[in-house]
Amino acid sequence: MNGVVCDSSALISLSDTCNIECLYFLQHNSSASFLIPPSVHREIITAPLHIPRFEFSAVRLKKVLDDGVFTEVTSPQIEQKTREIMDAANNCIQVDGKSLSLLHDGEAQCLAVYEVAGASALAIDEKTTRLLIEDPRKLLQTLKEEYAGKLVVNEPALQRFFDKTKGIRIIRSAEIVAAAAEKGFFKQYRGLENQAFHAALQALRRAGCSMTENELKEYAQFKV
Amino acid sequence: MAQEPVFSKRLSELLQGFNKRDLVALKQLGGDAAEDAFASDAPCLVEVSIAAYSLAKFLEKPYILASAEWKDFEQTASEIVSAALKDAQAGKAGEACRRMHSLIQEIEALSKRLGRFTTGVVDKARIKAATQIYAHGASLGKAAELTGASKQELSHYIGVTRLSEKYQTFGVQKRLSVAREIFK
Repeated sequence: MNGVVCDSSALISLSDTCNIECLYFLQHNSSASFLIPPSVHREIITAPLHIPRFEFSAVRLKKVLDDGVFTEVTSPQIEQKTREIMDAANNCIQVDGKSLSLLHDGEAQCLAVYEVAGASALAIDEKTTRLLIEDPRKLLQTLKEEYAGKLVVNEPALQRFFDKTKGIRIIRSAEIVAAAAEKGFFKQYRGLENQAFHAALQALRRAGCSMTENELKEYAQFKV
Repeated sequence: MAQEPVFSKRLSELLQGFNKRDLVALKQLGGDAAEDAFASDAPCLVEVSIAAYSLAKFLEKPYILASAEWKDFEQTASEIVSAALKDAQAGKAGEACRRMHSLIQEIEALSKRLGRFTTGVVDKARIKAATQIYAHGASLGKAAELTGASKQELSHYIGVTRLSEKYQTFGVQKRLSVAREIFK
């Protein structure tokens, strides 16, 4: 089983663009399983169930959980590993001598669950976690533009973060939908499969999936 | 707690901007205070940012300025910020913060009474502050937590900006090859 840990950002994008059915489809048509940490359960289901304007979204995602499409991972190791990851991530960049708290514990908990569950991928649409893992120098470069050169890197903390997240592979809601598309998810649109696929990607981007124009153009070359 | 010199400075700018009805200054302050809030992990500065954005929004709307409630609100808001500034300058940041929180409540109340949209002006201001914080390096979750903005609404707002253009790491082919392997 290939475990895919899902951050709330990816689930929000899929749910709000009516693409959550991709998870059902991939569960039945692949060897993947979808995992969430307790923090994601709280963020996308428990908390919004009591807020009228987000209630329907929460109800829909609760159904996905109740249908067994994703599984909540709980383990006594998660809390300690989450703290270690937060400590490293939130001390690796300093501005005027103060560390920037870059990550929320929800994102850090996803990284902890990745390790605890021996997952194969992390599905996350937000950019900071992805940049810290895949290209921290790029994150620093973009931040230097914002902070007019007052930035300092705490190399030991950055190395600690790198050591704790080495090997984590990241996909986004866009790749979940693309993988489902290649397996026939959009055949239900009879003749409009390509249009549905490309429109879904546009919708995901507008819902917050961190994707560039160039990436959309690359995807535009794909036919399903 | 907000670093006191920065907090006092931003409160002073808020008071001046509001009293002079300087929309440009208030909007700039909204961004600057959000940036300061993230740099020092200070929720009190988020309140300043939210107040600045919200008050600028009110000042843009002729129907609000012409309303019967505006004069009283304007006086109350100015008094609250003035008192918060005195507290901050006296080293009582906690008290200043509580006053700012009460200002946000006053803004929300006026927005509910007079606003023409279901989303209030404070919620919109939280999104603006959170977007600024996101652009300064925070993750989506961190930006939402610090400002009290909804992650969902923040995600949608960011999705219609060009912020993502700066953040590409791998190309589509590489990322899709990972997905194909996972979902075989």
